[in-house]
Amino acid sequence: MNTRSTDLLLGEPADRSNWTVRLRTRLEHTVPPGEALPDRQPVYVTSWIYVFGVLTLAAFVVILATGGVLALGGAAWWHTSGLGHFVNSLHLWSVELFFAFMVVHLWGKYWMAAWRGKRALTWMTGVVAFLGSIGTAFTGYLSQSNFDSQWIAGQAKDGLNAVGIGAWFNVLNPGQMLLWHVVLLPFVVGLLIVVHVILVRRHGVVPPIDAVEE
Amino acid sequence: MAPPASIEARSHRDGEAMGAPDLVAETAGRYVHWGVIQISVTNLVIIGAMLVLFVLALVLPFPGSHGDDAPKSPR
Amino acid sequence: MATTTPDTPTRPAAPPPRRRRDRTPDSHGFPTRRYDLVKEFVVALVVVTLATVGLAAILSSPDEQAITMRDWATAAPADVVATATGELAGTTTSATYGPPYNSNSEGQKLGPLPLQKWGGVRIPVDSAQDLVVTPLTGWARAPALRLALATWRGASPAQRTSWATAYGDALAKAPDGNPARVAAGDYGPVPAMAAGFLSLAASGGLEGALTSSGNFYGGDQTRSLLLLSDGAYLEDQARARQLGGDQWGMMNETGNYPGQPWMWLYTFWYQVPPFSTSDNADALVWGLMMLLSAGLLLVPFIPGLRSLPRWIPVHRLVWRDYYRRYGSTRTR
Repeated sequence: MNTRSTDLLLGEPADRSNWTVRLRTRLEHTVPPGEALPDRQPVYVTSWIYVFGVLTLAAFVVILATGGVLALGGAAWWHTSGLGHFVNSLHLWSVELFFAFMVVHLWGKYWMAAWRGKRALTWMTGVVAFLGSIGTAFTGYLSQSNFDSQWIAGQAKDGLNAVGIGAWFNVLNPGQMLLWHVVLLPFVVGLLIVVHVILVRRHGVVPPIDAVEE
Repeated sequence: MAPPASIEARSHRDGEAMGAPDLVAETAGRYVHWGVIQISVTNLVIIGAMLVLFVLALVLPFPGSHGDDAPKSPR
Repeated sequence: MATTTPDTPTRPAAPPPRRRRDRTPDSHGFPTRRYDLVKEFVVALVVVTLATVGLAAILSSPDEQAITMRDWATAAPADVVATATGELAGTTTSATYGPPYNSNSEGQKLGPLPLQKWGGVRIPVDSAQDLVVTPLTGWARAPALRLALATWRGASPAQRTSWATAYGDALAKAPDGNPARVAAGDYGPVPAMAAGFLSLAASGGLEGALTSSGNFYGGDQTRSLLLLSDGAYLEDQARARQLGGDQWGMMNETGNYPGQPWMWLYTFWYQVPPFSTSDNADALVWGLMMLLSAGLLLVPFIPGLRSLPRWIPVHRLVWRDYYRRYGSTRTR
């Protein structure tokens, strides 16, 4: 059938120079078999604190969906349409929920020292996703095309210009900010979230502090 | 530069005609002042709710199904 | 396998002491319980969707309309005149900003590092020319105004500055900044230009004249926003809504709507010395926040910080069921 079965039969790689084989092998070993979508979990996962990761993820999905609907109508739609304004409200509140759940998730993970057992990268991707989310929200505020956008742009430019970033990232340019908000940043944050979740599935949920392996 | 005689602002309503801007100091919203700290009531409520949520998540019993534990997986 | 002489028994060297964090057992080596990951996700999605719909329906979202140049001209005409004059005199914030708009200031530094300067003048804006003279010239039809502009064009830079500065000072001294009540003086064409600029703003055509992209489609409001920020009106509106930098404004939203609570630490530093009184506040705060962010990122590697969860045992609440049933290395 596939080359991996052949590997097992032959006891050696069928074709190590084949990039496809190498990529496939690598992907197949990213997560232990059955752990990508497990139907069992360690017995120590019995606390409500554990739901905040999935709540954050769910909020992210709602953010993408509501943002997508806003994109259907265009950047100024919500100013003139009642439905558009409601969708904007959905987008705002899903963002507030997203941050609230994410931060509670962060608090939980800190006090559980969840980076233990080779999970430092899980922690780090989470932090970068958090910071990236703040940047994404920021470009969102700049894209409202209202008074808030005007004021935030005027203020933020000073912070960014002071450290040279403003020369490249022009917050006074709504066209640029909207594209960062809708295309670049969601893609980067989304990618970080995917990596973060894969790492959780790869390493499993961190055991309790001072737990003893049976 | 002297401030304008009447500080004006506007709030948006769908379909409202664009007249002269009208100021309402209440558009500032409700704020709590405590020393150097100034925070909106809304933000305070949000942060408070998050803390409550965190504490509840820690202390509320979780419906664990005792007795359905399996020995460690053979993997 | 090393060979040894018969009368020298070997003993393998003691392994190096294992550090605590290496002792975390494999999560796959524990008893398991039933779990439905997909169902959990779907439930979470439904819960979040319902919460979002509920909050949106009840609380809505703010939308205070953008300030147009016409609004500004109608509500605060004296401010428009004063701002235009300031642009011509080279005294406004944008005129003296430095990079990325011009070289009229060194900009802020983070300690010895001139970060603002390193960014370079990549968004060149000549405040007097780009924000006032060019849009005004394109719009002016009245002969008196065209004559005033021609006079300005023909004057030396020193003469222009002298006129504009004198007029700016006179406006500041006039009651309510009212141009009609300015003392007599040698202001050259500046009063006519400023008055013409006010008319341009009131006509609704100023934004179009300022658009930085230089073509029909606009999309880049750099110049309009710089001009608006140079005036007092925009800031007055913002401060009335508790959005000012020294009002923790970064966290706030108009009205009673939720703002950005997650910005609390970033905006905090601006409220306290030394940042609140420093010319380099922006650079300093940014630098500090980058440092703290790096600290957050590297928690797993920072001694003390990474051990705090062990010393303050919030985790004993999280895993209390497990500890009760299975114990821990501390109880065995």
